[in-house]
Amino acid sequence: MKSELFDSDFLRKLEQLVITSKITLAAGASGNRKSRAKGSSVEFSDYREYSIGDDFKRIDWNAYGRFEKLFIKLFMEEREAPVHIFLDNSKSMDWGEPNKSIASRRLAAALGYISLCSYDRVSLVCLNSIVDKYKSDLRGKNSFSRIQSLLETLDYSGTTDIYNTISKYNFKSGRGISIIISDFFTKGNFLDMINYLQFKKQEIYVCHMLAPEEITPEIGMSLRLIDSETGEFRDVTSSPELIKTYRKVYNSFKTNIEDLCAVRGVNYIFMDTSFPAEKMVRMVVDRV
Amino acid sequence: MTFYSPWAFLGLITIPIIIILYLLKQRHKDYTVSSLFLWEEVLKDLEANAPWQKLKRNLLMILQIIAALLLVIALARPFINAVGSGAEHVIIALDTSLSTKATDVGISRFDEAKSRAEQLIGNLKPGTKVTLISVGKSVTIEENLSSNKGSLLDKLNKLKASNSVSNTEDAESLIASILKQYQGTRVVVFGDSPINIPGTEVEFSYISNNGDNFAVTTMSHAKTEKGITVLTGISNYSNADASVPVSLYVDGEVFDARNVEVKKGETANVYWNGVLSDIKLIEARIDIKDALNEDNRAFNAVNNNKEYKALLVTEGNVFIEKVAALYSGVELYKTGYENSDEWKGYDLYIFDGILPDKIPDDGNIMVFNPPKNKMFEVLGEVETPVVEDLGEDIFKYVEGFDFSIGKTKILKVPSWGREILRLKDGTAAFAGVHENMRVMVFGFDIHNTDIPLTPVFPIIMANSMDWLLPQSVNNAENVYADEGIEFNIGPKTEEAFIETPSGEEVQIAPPFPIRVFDKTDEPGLYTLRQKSEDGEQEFYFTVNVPSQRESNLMKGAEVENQNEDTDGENTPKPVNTGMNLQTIFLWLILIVLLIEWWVYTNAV
Repeated sequence: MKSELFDSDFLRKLEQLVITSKITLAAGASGNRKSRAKGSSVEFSDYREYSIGDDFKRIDWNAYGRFEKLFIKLFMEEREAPVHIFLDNSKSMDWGEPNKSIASRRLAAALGYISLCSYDRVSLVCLNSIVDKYKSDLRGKNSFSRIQSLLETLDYSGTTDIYNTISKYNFKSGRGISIIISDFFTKGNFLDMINYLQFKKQEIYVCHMLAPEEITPEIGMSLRLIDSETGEFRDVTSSPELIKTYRKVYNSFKTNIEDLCAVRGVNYIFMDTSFPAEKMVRMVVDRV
Repeated sequence: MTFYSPWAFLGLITIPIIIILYLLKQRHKDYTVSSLFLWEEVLKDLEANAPWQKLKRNLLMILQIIAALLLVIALARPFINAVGSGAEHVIIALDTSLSTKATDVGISRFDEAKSRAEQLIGNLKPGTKVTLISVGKSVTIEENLSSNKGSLLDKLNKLKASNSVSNTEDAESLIASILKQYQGTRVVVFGDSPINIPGTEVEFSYISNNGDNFAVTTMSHAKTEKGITVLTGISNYSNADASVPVSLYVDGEVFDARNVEVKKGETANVYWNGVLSDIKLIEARIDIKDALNEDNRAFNAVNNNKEYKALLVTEGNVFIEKVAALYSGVELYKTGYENSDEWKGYDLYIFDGILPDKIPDDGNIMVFNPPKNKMFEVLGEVETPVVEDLGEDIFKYVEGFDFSIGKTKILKVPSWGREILRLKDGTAAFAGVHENMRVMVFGFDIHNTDIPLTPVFPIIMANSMDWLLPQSVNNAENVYADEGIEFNIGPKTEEAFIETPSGEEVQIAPPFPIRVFDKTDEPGLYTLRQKSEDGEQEFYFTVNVPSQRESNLMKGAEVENQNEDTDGENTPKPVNTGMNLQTIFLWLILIVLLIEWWVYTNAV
C-alpha cells in the first residue's frame, strides 16, 4: 500500500520542499515560522520595562548597568503553524482514471509530510458527510507514519457534504493553514465554508481535484448514468449537444468556485488527476 | 384517392414493431459516474433550452413511424383519380404534324406532347388497355389495346414528328370506329389539332404558346422569254407587322436577298425576275429563326421537259385535234388508218374508231369507239345510256355529269383495267396498264356525244393526258411531305430510281407496275431517273412542308377561344391525367429521414 501511494524517491523529493506560510502565528510551540508575537527567541525585537511576574532570565543586565532600570528583552518568536488538511473521502472521490482517491491521498500525504518537516503541527481530517477519520496535532517527521497508516486504510464511502462538515469543525488552535482537497460535487454553500474558515483565521488552500473523464466526458451511446454516491440514475443519449452542454455546465461550476475564491482571497488550485503527484504538490507549495 | 396495391398496407405491421424495438432500445447501458451533480444541471439546461427535449427520444420514434407509414402508402401506390380514369380502355392520339415541331413551348410541342402522354400512361390504373395512335398525314395505330406500359412508353418514345399535316378526319373516323366497338373508352388527344367525335367527350391536351412564325407559303415559277420568274409568298403568322429577310437560292447558290414587309396575319407575294432557265432547283429561305424553322424554306423544281409527241389516228376528228393542241408540251401529229407503218416513235397514240392488231409498243394508247380487237372484248352497243360518276381522276374538276351520250359500245373491263365510266348497261370506258403501256379506252365516238360542246371536254381530255403522258408534270412538281406520288414512267423504262435530298437512291422499278412512292418525308429536291435503251432521263420534283396548313401556330388559340364561347357537347376538354402520388410519398420519406438524421445528430 505504501508503495502505491509513495515511493522513497518521492519522499526524498518532498523533504526538499518546505511550506512557508505568509502569516505569523499568535500562539503555540516553537516552529519554523516567524510569529508577530514577541517572545523568547534568538532574533532581538524590542525592550520593555520589567513588570512583576516576568521571567528573571529575560532581564537584560547590561541595560540595567547603564540605566539602572530593569528592562526585558523582547525577541521575534518563531512558532509552529497548525496545518489542517481536509480530505474529501466521499464515494465520488473514489472514481476516475487516474483515480481521484489515489491522487488526493498522495497529495494529502505529501502536504502532511512537508508540513511535518517544517515543524508544523499537522491535522489530517478525512470527511464526507461527517468527519470520518482524523489524526490531529501531529508533530515531527516521525508522525508521518500515522498519516500514512490513516490514508492507507481510508475507505471511500458516503456522500459529500464537505461545506457543512468543515463549517462544524472545531479548530482548537488560532491562526493556521487549511487545505481542502475535494471534487466539490456537493450541494450547499461554498461561501459558508469559506466564511467559517476565515472567521477561524485560516489561510485557505482549495485543491479542486477532478478526473479527466469529469472534465471531458466521453460517452458514445445511450447510457444510464448512475451516481456512485447515491445510486440515483439519469438516462442520457449521447449527442454533440449533450457534450456541449456538459462543457458549459462544467465551466460554469469551476469558474464559480474559482471566482468565489478570488473574491475572498482564497488560494484556488485546480488539479487534474492525470497530473504527476510532484506537480500537484509543487502547485500548492508554490502558492504558499 | 385510390390505392393500386392495397396489399402493401400489410406493411403497417412495421409500426408496432418499431414501437417494440424502441421499448427494447430504452434499456440504457449502465455507467457509473462519480456524481450526477453536473449531469443534473446539464439535463436541466437542455430541457430549458429545448422544451421538447423530453419528447426527443419519442420524436425519433415518431419520425420513424411516419417514415414507415409513408413507405407503406407509397408501396400501396396512391393515386388521385382523374375524371374518366376508371376507364378500362384509353385511346391516346398523338399529333405528329409539322406544327408540333414548333418550339414555342420551350421544347418542341411534340416533345411536350410526348411527355404529357408519358405522364398519362404512367398514371393509368394498371391493367388499363391503351390504344396509341399517331396522327400525321396517315393515321397509324402504334399499339393496340396494350396494357404493357413499358412497351407503350417504348413506342411513344420512338415516335417522331413529321413534316406533314395532321389528318384529323381519318383520325376521327378511326377513333369513332374503335369507340363503336369499345363502349366507355376514354379518348385523349395530345397536340395542337383538336379531334372532334360526335357524341364523345374528347380530352384535348392542347400544346401551344402561340409562337410567332413566318413561312414561305407559296412557291412557283413561270418560264418567260427573259428567263424564269419566281413567285414566293411570305406569310406572317405573328401579332405584329414585320420585315422579313428572304433569300432566293438557285441550285444552292444565293441569287438575291430582300427584306419583305408583311403585315400581321397576311401574306406578301414577292416576284424574282431574271432567273436563268437552265437550272433545276429554286429555293426560298426566310433568314430568321422563329418558332417553326421547317417552314422557312420552300423548294421548286425546274424541269426542261421535252415536247411529247402524240399521233392521232383518225378519219377526221376536229374536236380531239383542237383540244390536244391546247395541251402544252404536246406536239400532235395526225394520220389516217392506212399508214400503219408510221405508227412508231410517239409517246401517245390516239386511235379514233380503229385499233390495229399490231398495237405500237413504244407509247401509251388512247382509244375512242374501238372495233372488235385482240386486246379487250367489245360486248355490244347501247343508245342514250344513263351515266354514273365513279369519282375517277379523269373527271376531276368536273362538276355534275351534265353531258349526254347518244350511242356507245359496251366494253368488258380486262383484268389489267379499271372501270372509269359506268352505264346502267355496262362499262363505257376503262383504263389500265397493259404490258407496261397505259391504255385508256372510251366506247363511244366523240361525235355521238355532246361532250365536245360542254366546258368539261378540255378538262376531261387534260386529265386523261395527265395520266397517259409519262411524268405528267402538273401534279408531280410540287409535293407535300409524306404525300405519295404515283409516277407515270415511260413505257420503255427498264429501271427507275429516285434520289432523295439526302442522296439516298431508292429503286422504284422494277417491279412493274410501280408502286406509289411515299418516302417523301424529307423536304427538298428529288430526282427521278429512268433508264431505258435510249439512255437515262432525269425528272426533278420537290417536296415542301405543308406550310399553308401547318404554319399558323396561333390557329389553336382560336380553338381555345371557341371552347370558351361554345362549351358545346363535343368541345374538347382539358386532359385530367390524374396524379400518381407515389413519387411524392417517396420524396416525403426522404425528407422525413433527413429530418430524423438532423434530429439525431444535432438536437441532443
